[in-house]
Amino acid sequence: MATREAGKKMIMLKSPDGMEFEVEEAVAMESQTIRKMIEDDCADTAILIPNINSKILSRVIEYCNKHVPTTGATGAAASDTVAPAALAEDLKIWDAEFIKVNRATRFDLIQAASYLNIKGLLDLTSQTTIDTISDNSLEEIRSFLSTKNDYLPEEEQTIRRENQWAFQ
Amino acid sequence: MASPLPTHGHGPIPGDTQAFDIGDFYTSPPLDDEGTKEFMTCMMEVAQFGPWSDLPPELLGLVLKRLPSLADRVRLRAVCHPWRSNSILHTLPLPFPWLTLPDGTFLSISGNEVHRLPLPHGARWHGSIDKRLLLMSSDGVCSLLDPFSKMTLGLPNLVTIWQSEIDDRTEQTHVPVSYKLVEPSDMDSSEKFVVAALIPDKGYSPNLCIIQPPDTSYTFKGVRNWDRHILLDFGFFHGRLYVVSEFYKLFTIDFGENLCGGPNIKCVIDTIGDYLRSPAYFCQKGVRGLLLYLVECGNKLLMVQRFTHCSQSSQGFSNDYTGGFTVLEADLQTNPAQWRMVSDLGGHALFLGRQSSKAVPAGECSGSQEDCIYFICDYPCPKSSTNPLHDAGIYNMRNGMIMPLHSGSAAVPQRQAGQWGLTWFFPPKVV
Repeated sequence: MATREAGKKMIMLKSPDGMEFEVEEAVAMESQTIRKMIEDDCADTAILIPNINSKILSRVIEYCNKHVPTTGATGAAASDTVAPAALAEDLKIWDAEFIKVNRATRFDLIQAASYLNIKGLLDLTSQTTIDTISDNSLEEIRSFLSTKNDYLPEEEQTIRRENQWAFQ
Repeated sequence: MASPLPTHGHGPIPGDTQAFDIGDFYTSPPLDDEGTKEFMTCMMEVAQFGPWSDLPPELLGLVLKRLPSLADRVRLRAVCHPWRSNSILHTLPLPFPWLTLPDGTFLSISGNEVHRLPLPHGARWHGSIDKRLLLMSSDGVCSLLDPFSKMTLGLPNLVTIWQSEIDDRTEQTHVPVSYKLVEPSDMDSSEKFVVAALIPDKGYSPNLCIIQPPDTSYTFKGVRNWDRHILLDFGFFHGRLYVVSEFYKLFTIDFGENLCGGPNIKCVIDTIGDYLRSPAYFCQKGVRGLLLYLVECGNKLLMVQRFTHCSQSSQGFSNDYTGGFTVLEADLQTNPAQWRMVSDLGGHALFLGRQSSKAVPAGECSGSQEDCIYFICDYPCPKSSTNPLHDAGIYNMRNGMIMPLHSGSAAVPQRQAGQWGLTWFFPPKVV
């Protein structure tokens, strides 16, 4: 239920596996999808977030908590004495730690960021995927992402022959 | 009420049917060799395949759009069938351009790789323009070749016209002949002209050859004959050919229906304008040279001035390096038209080169930055330098800072490895 605690408007997010997360409205509105629901008055009661399990949703909330603009947050990072550049640097380090997850979690996070439309998280997850792909051979990419090679040997040969320069 | 758990992902995920037990493994920053080995060993233990093949098309597009290296895009598309078919759904920005290297290979700066493309046997290379290479076959025929689509555009007469000059030059100086090429930004327009110029050593105007494929051409010695000014650079703007001469006079060169009637040359900027208000670099000590480029950038015709300084190396050799840039816009709306200083590139990234330049909105070229000039060493390089990437950098017009163009570890062939010049080459978005 939407409630008020210490002057902050709170909002309830529900995952499909039955967990409930009470978060500040400002934090939830880091997600453009949720923001739209709230602005369209579709969010009086708890908001059900389909397709995102509690584990991933809690990580997403953790991210939004950290990234919500400091004027609306109660977090420790909201100190007025911290310079913006230092704050940005702090966030960068925090992001780097945050994304140190296994590939399956990263895959779920990229999907969640896309569904909830959280630009920062989408940037972070897709950039991490790009770092995985960049500068690596095809075998390494497949291996890193643990994707299945579903090409027949002759198909694969053709693809490699077409752009031999990229596979040398 | 549950609260978010401030822990990082460990072990299997609730509700996830696939079991992954590689713990906190992550892949950024890129691993060194040892790290890779360790990682590969770790990966061998993973028997099951992950969900990445099922990455929804829009998310695959998101990743693809951010990949500045064409080779990475090619390899990503080759990962599996769904990725291959889904990747064609997206309109991608241009990959970050490549540099042609002395031995005929290409440096992908963003991918930190040297690529070798199949080229016609025996062809000599004389430059590049956008996505095409100017090649001269062993029997002296010039053509523009798109090495990916294999489309060829013949350039008639070029060698016949210039042969004696090329022979003289090569004999005297043993320096490869250098060309500049320009074409209207929209080559599909009805005015299909290509302009090629033999780039001279200091002291006289380029020998301009205006070509209307397939077989018409018109050659003249710059604007020297009629104005006695040395032509410094030329380029197309809104489909019209402009040249800038000494004292920064700007001319238009128009042709009628075809080239036979000869050009109609008109001076459009006769005043120096803002140029007089830019003494900052001239006041500095050690300014050694000024290089000038005429480029079309968005909706503007720009004259880019590059200032070089000189430094002594520890071995006593002198080395030129770029100190800064000033950019002037040809303001053709005022009367009289004049050069006006600008402080940005309107969000474009400008890839600057003596042989060809190209400006693109930064958002349309993956990995490029707004209001930055990407420059290379396209002046006669000091003999002491063997690195073709000597004095290559990124000049940010917003803060005046210069950053190195390439800091990767790819083994770039030395300048002496061949005679091909350093130019920007724009590979296609996808192949």
